[in-house]
Amino acid sequence: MSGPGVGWYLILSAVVFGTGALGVMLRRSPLIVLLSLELMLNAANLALIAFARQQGDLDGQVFALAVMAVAAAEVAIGLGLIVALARRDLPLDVDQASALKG
Amino acid sequence: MLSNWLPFLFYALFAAAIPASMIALSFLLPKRPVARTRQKLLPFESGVSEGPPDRERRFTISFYLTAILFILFDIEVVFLYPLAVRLEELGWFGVGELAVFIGILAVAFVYVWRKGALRWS
Amino acid sequence: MIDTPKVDWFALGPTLALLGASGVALLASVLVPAWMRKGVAAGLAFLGFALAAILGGAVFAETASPETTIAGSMVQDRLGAFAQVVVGAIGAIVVLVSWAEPRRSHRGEYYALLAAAGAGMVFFVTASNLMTLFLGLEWFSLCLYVLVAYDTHRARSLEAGLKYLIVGGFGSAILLFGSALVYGATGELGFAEIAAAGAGSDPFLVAGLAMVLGGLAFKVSAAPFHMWTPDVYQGSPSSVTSFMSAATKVAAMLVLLRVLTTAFPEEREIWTVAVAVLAAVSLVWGNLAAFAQRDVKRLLAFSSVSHAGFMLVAVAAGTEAGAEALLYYLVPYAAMSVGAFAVVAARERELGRDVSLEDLAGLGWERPLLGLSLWVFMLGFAGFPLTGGMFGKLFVFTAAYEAGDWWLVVLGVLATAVSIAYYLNVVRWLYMRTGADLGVALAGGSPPRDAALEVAVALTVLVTVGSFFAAQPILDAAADAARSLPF
Repeated sequence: MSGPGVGWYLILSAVVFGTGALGVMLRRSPLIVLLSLELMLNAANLALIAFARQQGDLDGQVFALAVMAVAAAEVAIGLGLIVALARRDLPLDVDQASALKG
Repeated sequence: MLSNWLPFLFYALFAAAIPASMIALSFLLPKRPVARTRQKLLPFESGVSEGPPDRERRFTISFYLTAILFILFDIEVVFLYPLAVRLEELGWFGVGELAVFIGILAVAFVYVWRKGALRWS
Repeated sequence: MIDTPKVDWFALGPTLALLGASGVALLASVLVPAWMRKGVAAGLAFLGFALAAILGGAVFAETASPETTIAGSMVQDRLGAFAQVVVGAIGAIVVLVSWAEPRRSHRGEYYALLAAAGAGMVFFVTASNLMTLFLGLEWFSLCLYVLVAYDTHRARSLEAGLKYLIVGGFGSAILLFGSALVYGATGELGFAEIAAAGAGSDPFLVAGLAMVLGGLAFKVSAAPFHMWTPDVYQGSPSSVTSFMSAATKVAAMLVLLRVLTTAFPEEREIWTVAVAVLAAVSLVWGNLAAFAQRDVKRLLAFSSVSHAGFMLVAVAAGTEAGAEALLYYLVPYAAMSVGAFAVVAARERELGRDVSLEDLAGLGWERPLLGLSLWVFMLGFAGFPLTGGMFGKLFVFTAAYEAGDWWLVVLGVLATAVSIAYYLNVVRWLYMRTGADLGVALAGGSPPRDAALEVAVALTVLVTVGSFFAAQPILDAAADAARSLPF
């Protein structure tokens, strides 16, 4: 095996995951929040692939492939909901949208 | 060690060359001198201008619908690659799996089609 | 030649039944004439759920000892089959509850999505590696996100859908990253192989375990990961809420139990403490917040958080008795939850708006069957005798006491005592005054009797009360199912 050690990939994936998690919690535009969710999923993908290379085992890569499809489906539903909200002129703001806080 | 990185170097150079050449050609090719207005030099963001989105100007819904459907059907194809690469070893089992997968996708496709989501109007 | 996995059609039966029903219902909702779409789709979904329950029963009867199939990605055992029977029954009843839901468009697709969510759940409960776990979880979650937002004409439904998608997606992403860490620590994805790898207290493994546990805690709506629950339960169509509150909880609780016991037996000291903390927080928070609610669906949502607490007390015991108690608990809980939301759905259709406690006034006189049923459900939730809720709590507390979690027993008993107050408050409102006295106007007069919903409510009452009188057979089945886990 060549290239940077698995540690570097893990650090990168942890940073990306953290960025995504912060984005979900802090940002208000639902589009950015969806984007951040994707970051989190893809950070996990990176970790899976890095571990798969380290172990010399293909399971992690297959897992990552499946996650990609799931992530696309999640984004499609999220975009659909956002379009539906926008068509009804509802506020596109995650904080405002929760008029029903509890 | 270094030779392992050589393919990556080519890959990176190639990746950088494509967008660079695109930008360069758009300046070199036009015959008429193009007015270099501010608008034209702004980065192209798929038709979305900078600043807060304009509430009055709307995209048609079919734009979103097509984009969303594209994402879904595009990504599903990813599963066909590993199958295609190993189809000879997998034999009829692989063909069967392929048929099941395509069958499920076909159900979704028939639904989308009959629903009229592919009609652009 | 690559070794091709043997596909076990028998073990996949319940999933395939529901997946097939879903696909055909989806096609039917564009291909058959418009007037019969709803009927065909609902019928197919009902058949799918019923068939899944029956096939689950067959798997239960045929499977003496657990065996993994399809390249170790799923396990055929009595625990999964038990859950398949329960989820199938819940789904079939929810189809009845949904039948009279006023809906102008996309009436067939609703049932296709419901069946698809059910298929995801019956697949999820048989997961035996981290990949099928994640795929099953997302399979039914994605269907539920759409179902929650199904009433696109109500702003709250759309907002609830988006909120559920964001919070649910966050939970799934945490679970996925945790899975990646566990995979990194052990090099394995299968639950049994993870346990066999014996990575000990590797930091990656412990961090991964914590994240997997956290991700599943979002799905079972255990506090402090429950913040989506009240909004989503309130915003989504009531029939969807009844499905979600019962079926998601059953599936996610069982899988939580399965993952913890089969994949992390070495780390028992760690996860029993973590689950106990989750249970305690859920009990306290769920019960206190339920007091402050005026909206019935929000009240039931917090009640569901507190019930997640009771179930987690059973998981925290980390013993076979705890697993048995959890499995028993799920049966009357699922029935009461579906039934209670069904009664709320009926009232909502009468009034044409969200149902607050005041809006329940007089329901007991106007519709004696529904009123009496809601009474039974509330007493059941509170753990009164003559309902399965009592034995459920009793078994959970016994298991916790035997495991040495006496402080959880004390907390649970206190929580039960407190909960009686707000459950009885609902009953009090039912018989308070007639709607006419209060001036509660029915939307366009009293709608015709909804026979399908009344059958559904009657069935859930039957299970709620029946699980008290026939506790022993259910407990025997639960014991059989619990034996599939390595304790």
